[in-house]
Amino acid sequence: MKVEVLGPGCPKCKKLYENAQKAKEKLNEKIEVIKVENMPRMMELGMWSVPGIAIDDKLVSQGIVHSEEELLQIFKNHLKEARDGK
Amino acid sequence: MKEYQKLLILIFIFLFAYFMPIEKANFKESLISSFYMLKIYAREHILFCLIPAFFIAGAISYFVNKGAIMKYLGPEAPLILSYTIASVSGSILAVCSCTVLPLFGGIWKKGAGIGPATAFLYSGPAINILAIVLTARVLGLELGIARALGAVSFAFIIGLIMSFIFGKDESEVERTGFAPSFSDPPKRKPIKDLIFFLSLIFILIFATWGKPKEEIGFFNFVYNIHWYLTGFFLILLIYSIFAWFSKDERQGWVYETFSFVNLIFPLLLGGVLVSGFLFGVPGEGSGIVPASIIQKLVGGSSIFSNLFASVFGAFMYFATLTEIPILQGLLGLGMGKGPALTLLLAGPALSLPSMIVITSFMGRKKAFTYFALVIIMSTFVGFLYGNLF
Repeated sequence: MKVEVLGPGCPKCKKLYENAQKAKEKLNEKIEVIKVENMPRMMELGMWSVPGIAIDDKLVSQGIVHSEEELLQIFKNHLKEARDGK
Repeated sequence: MKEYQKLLILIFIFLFAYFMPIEKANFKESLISSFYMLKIYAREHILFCLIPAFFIAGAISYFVNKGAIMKYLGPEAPLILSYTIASVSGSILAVCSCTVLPLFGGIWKKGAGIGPATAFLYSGPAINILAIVLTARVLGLELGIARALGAVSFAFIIGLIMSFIFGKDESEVERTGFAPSFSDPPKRKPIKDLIFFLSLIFILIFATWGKPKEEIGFFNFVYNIHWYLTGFFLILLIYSIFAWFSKDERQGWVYETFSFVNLIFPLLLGGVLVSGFLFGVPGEGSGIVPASIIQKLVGGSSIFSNLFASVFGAFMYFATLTEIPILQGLLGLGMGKGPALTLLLAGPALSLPSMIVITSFMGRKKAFTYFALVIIMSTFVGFLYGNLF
């Protein structure tokens, strides 16, 4: 699973990135968390409100600084969906 | 921070200490002016003006439902409405420049197109609520109003021109509308939100109510009771946040306010110190830059002085709000009020770093047209303002 934390370097985006890192460490799964600061990528995903999160090239949330727990839930749901899909 | 960066900073500090002209009288006076200016800001502008304004900005950022506003900037919204909303919503949607570009990209590619998007790109940094409030407070109500009106009408016109020039080669862009903002349904009646916001705004207005020149009439009457009015709205505010808002919301609002303070306050203090050092304190002490240079470059309101202010403002980077102490210093040294407005219109909207970013994703042709429009129109409006008022 690829998680992109999107935002051009404002304090909120950094906070969200930290929370995403912490959530990742709690899950024993193959998750890659990257911080994306380039604008064209954000536009491609249709994001307009910072900060945003995209999972596997799809925007799942924007404009909200999710807490570690919320992110954990989002990641879990996504992993479950991905497994059920297969 | 890398090791060599630390070393570079140390070398820089050493060189500064080595060559610092501390024995020169005008250097000493400039240093004193610098701290004098800081004291004036701390005493006169921060407690009753800036702090309420920070709470308002925090409330706007935390409570206003951005998704509801973006509805009017989508692909199906009527164009006139899109332009109007884009021109004024800078004050609501974005208080920090880092949020402007994603919104701009979204409106351009997924929403109402290049026109409203450019209108927003301009209005975002130019008319944020903190800047307008502090301009009116420090530089006078007239310049504050001129700045707000100028910025809104600028945004509208620049958007229209951009759409007129580039709108036709845009038809193939796929306008899919915005991704949802995932905001929750309203938690209380709108009237309660309104009372909350109005009490915040009235606290700001009445706490900063100035003493009128003549001791009669409405303004004087309000001045005599302005602390009671402030107190009344403060009680109303406290009642409304505890009675109608949840604990999470209260915390979120305060957190948002603090993050603005953290971001903007240190920069503003830096700007005040630099301005005091360079330009002195109006009527109290001089700075390192002699008045004659300022008067030659931006005194009066000729086409040249306005053009100079416009180009200088466009390239120079002003962190949020720092344009205000800088202008205060410049006005004290004899800058004309035309060029002052020009600088307010061209300065915060553009800077060399922002130009580079904008060019990289708008393309050279569109970006340079936008920069030229801002520079030319600021010059022209400043020229008119300086000569007519």
